[in-house]
Amino acid sequence: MTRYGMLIDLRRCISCYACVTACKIENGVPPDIYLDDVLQTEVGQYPDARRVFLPILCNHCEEPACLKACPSHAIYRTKDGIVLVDEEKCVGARACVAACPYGRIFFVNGYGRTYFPDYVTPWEEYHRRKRRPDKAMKCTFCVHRVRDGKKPACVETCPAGCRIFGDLDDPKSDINQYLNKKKPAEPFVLKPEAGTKPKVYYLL
Amino acid sequence: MLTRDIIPVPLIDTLALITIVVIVVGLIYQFIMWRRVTPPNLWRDIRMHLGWGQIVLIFFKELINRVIIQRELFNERWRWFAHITIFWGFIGLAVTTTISYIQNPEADYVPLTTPYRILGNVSGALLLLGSTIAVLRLLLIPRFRRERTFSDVWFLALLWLTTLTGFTTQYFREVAYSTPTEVSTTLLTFNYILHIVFVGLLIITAPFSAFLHSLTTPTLRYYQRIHANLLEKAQIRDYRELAQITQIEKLYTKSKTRPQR
Repeated sequence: MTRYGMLIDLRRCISCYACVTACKIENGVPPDIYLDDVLQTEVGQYPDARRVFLPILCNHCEEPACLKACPSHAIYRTKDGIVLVDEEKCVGARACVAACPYGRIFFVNGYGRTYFPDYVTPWEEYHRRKRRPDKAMKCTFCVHRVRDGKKPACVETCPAGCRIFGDLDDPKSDINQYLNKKKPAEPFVLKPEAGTKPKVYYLL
Repeated sequence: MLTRDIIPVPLIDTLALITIVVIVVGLIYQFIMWRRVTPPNLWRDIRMHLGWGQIVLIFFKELINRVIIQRELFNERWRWFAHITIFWGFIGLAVTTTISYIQNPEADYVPLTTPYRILGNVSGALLLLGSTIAVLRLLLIPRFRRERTFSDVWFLALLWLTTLTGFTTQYFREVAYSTPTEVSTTLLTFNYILHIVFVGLLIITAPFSAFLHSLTTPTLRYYQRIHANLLEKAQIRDYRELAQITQIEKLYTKSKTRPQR
């Protein structure tokens, strides 16, 4: 059975925010919401100081805290392990927003803010038609693209090739091939103590 | 015949005590699970930046909106109706049981017109109405049947059976008290034991069944509101993002790995 996941090689990330932009364009994300983001910090001290970049997104956990918290059972896992929000069932309780240990699920007030005051661009209008107001919003691993045999927008766009998407269980998938080829250190997940079994792995 | 003749009051008290211990242990277990993902200094920062006034104000706003009137379900009439009747029915029965335990600890016969018995019956009727609607929705709407988990079905089925056997027990108790025959006594005994078993199962599995959402949903919502207010007021980074970046900082420091350029 397919089990989609992502591998992010932090050694390659250059913090160009191409993934963030691609995600926003592909999914019509309002300006104040970042389904996909890149965190930055500085580690070490001069002369060994350096900037560290951490791309973050929904981890599409095996045991999602958001799914368990949702009182209206609007969050579900597809057969291929992608965690999605059913907007028809979402009642806007926002329990998922509080429950996600990664802070990667958002509540959109109405249709969300627009990029320009008092003006809705045709692109925003297009995405608004597909969405419902006052619902939770999260990364979908670009399920509409994946089902068409394409890669998620962030993966496709990343110029440094630091994001690898694929079936974690398939030895021939991009992820497993990357791991076999590069033979890096053991991939790790963020906040393993949360017990949600994330499917977004990182390499350092 | 009285219910205390079927199951003695001290035995009921002992069972209730065991149930309370199981519930408390279950809730502590759940709390430990949640605590693992809560940032360590969050409440200290909330107290510092928001103050008790804001904390209490948000609490009451959430209590009214999410619990007392359940405003978030206003757009789904039937669902709201089922929720509100189940919730207030349950509260009414909890109050009735408490008053009954204080006023009538020996479980003597009390007429139907006693105020707390009226409250109990009205609350029971509300609970039965709400749970029946919920069960019917589950049975008749295929989408719900497909999507509900075992814990939902377990909770709903037990709630409905508990309420129903509560009423049948009450009916047979009245019958057995006014015209005690072997049939009425047997029916009372059977119904009462069944009712106690259902009550026990409903309460004892509460921390692990859909029952828990009555606590988790308003609590998580309250937490989310407080958290959002804190981030806005203190202009600080989301704690969860901070925890993730801190993890990476530690790993970098530990591994001394230089990013490839």
